[in-house]
Amino acid sequence: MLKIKKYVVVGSLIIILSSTQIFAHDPIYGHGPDVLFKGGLALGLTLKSGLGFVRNEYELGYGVTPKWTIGTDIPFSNETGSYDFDGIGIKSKYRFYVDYSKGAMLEFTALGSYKYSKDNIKPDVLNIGLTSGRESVAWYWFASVLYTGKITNSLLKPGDEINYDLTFGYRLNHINYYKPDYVIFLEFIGKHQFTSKLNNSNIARSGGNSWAIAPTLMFTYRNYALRAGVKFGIGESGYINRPKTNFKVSIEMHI
Amino acid sequence: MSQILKQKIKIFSSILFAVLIVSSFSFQVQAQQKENSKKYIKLEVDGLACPFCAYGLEKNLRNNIEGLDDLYINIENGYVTFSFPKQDKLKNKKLEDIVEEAGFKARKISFSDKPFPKGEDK
Repeated sequence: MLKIKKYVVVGSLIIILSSTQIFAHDPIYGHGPDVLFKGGLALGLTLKSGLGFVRNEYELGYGVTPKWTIGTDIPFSNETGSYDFDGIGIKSKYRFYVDYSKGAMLEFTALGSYKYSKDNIKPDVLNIGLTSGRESVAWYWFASVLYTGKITNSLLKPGDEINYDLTFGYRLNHINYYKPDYVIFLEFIGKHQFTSKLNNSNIARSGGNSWAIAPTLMFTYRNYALRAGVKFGIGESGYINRPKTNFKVSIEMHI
Repeated sequence: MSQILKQKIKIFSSILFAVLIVSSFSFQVQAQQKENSKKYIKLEVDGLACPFCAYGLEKNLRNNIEGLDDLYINIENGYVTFSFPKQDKLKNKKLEDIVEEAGFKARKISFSDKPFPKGEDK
């Protein structure tokens, strides 16, 4: 009984602490502070593909309170060879500050996620970070920073990361609840990776920085959203490569 | 023969015209009665900046206010209007809570016995 309680407490803590990409209209590659309305359910499917790989994520989010959203995603990919189930992720967002004004909202949100890897080839991944943004009837901006920890029992431990992104958006149409809505975004995505370790010793030629940009489009109509974008690697330093060009499409429904 | 037919057509047309007038009047009275049985609310809401997010407000209003009708959301001008049965009581606190649970903030709540004018954007 005590053991079950312990699991419930640990599980709850992970959910509370635990990145979310498919909640409301956040950037598709970066992150954003939006949370779901109380009792809201978000169903999403994301397809990510590039040279030689395909990744699908089936996602589910739930608005526990107007400030707190929890969710899960189940990815399938062929990144380790054949197309297969690729672990399970749990995620959560807590919006701790909002400044409301007519036709605009400034938000600050803490977010976290934990992805269990299905095997020992990839490490488990823990993300903890802060995200903020202002959305208005015409313009958007989002800014986020996340610490990404890699958890593994393997002798080779990939370096932890600091991921950051900055996004600007512009609504192409006159806003109207009863008509389709189009917003274009330009996302800047950066990553700093610390040195990797082998048997607890730093690997000299590891770690570095990479940068990418991603023009993306969001189309929504009432409670349906379709987002798509392409990410291009634009720079690198140290011993990591810039991200390979890939595209991402996601569909989402709120009920 | 044709004289009789003309006369019949004339009588039929007159009856049809009279029926149309009476039913139109009746519809007007019914619409007036329906309008009189409703109370109208205008919620001015801060934070409304996106149609996708405003869906949560629509859902919360529909789920929490029985008999809600004539719902209209104007994001550009930041307000929502709707009607509900006149005999029901609806307090400001309940409306503020509904808006808050949808992730927004109610700035001003106005009640009226007549419909609020809608914006041009519907």
